[in-house]
Amino acid sequence: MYQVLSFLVLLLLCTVPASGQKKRSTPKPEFRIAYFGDYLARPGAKLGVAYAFAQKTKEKSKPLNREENYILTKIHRLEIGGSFTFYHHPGDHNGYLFNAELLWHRIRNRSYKTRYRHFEAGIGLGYLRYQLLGTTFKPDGESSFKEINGGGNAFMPSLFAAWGMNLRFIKATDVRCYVKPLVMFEIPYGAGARGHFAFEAGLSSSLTKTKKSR
Amino acid sequence: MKNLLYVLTLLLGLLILHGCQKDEIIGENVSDLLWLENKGAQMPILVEGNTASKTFILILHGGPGGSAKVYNETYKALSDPLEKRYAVAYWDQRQAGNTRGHGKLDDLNVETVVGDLELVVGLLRYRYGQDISIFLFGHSWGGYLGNAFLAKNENQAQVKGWIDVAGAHNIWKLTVDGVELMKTVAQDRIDANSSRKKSWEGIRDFADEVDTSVPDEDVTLKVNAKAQEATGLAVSDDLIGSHSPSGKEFLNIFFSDYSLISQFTNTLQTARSDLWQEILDAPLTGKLHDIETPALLIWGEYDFVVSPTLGQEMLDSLGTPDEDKSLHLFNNAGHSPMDADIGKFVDLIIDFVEKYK
Repeated sequence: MYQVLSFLVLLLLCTVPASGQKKRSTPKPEFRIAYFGDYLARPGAKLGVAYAFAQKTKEKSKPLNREENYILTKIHRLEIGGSFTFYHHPGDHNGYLFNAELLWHRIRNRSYKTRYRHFEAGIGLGYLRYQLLGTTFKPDGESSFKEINGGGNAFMPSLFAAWGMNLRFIKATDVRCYVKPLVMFEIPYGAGARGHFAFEAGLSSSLTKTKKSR
Repeated sequence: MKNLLYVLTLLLGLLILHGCQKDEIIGENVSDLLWLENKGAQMPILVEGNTASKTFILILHGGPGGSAKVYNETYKALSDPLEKRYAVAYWDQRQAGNTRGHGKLDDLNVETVVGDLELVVGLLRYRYGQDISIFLFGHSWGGYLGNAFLAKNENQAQVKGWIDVAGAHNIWKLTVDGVELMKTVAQDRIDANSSRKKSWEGIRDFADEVDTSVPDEDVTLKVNAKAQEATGLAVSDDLIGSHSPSGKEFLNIFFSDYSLISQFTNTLQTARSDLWQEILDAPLTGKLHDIETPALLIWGEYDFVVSPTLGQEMLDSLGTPDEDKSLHLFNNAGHSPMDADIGKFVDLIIDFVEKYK
């Protein structure tokens, strides 16, 4: 397990300098803020950033009318990201999840009328720190107990896909909304591993001023 | 965007504050979440209800690998009246329910789980006072666990009463007797031209063919699965009353502290352990005469999982004086007698606790 984990971490780290040479433009980091629901209903919040280290853009010119053309754009990116998530499982624990993500991101518009649509898929390597709610006791000799800081750590890899679209009503900057179902695996959990299904819904933006695209 | 950040920060702060606030632990409507960390396992013990009564009912859930919180979140008609009078402690055993931590499968054995139970009883006294009265309520596998606890050393001095609901103190006997009960009931249903005659014929054929001459783990598991199927048929034929969670109780499965996924994960791990083989090899019938604790035994007439003959065996074998033990057979009930008549079930428990607290 540790060998696989080390390999994945190295892979994530190695991809950054190697792919830096492939860049055509300089994409800005994207900041994300989202609602995070562990099993949908255990509420939380997520803050993250993603940076494209490789990008490929395809543009196709299409006639809009006799004088004008419009451009269909398709962008493929490889991104690396980091995030911090907090969630609250009532009557059980609070979870603090630190995650590194490697993802493929596709952006495209299908016609001059449609806004940019986004699709992402990727994997994450996470570290979960959970803090038990209530009071935790440990036996301390005959009929005696000591109060301890109850909690634990776990490795939490994840798989995810996300769908999003740019918001039209925010003109000043590129902002997109997205929804992102995730499957995560908490290892160890008791004597094995436990699956988590989570749902993320939020906003993502590079916080730069919008250029006119058409 | 800025406003959104403010709102999220505020919400986060409120959540953290809510988690940190300290509640009173003695009162008439208390909810006190404790965790016991032992041998790598972090086991939740949720104490709810009237702790001021100084009377505690400690739930030993079924399974192995079940959850105590089920009796709280999806059986409000059971938990509410009990919590109004007494405190109820919902303890999820190691590798069960919402239990977390890094417990090992090797530690999932009778000795360790009984040791955990001794600690839970000790922790309740440590937290709420040495003068509290503790009653054990064991269902199915919880019945085995309760008997194993009471038969060990001086443990029975720690509890005032033992409520055993369809307890599985002898796995091979419940297997053999369960097969006989399935045979009899299936034939009755076939003769009565049940609308599920074909399915009952399947049960009868299984019961006729299964080899119960030598104790065998695979046979016990197959019989257990068939007994669950027979229970479903008996519910369809109105032989057995069933419990349908109310809308709120159903939502509790997803929105309360109870976690179905945790329980499912833990149950899968439990199935990988040697616990079932261990309890099959170590029936407790021979140890029951060592137990002299007042006992309330409740069984269902159509319990194919833990046959009512085990209830009778317990009644006959317990060392408890005759006037302090009783067996109550629920006519329209299967493995969960409370499903048939929850009002009568609660009344029996309250009468028993009032008498011996």
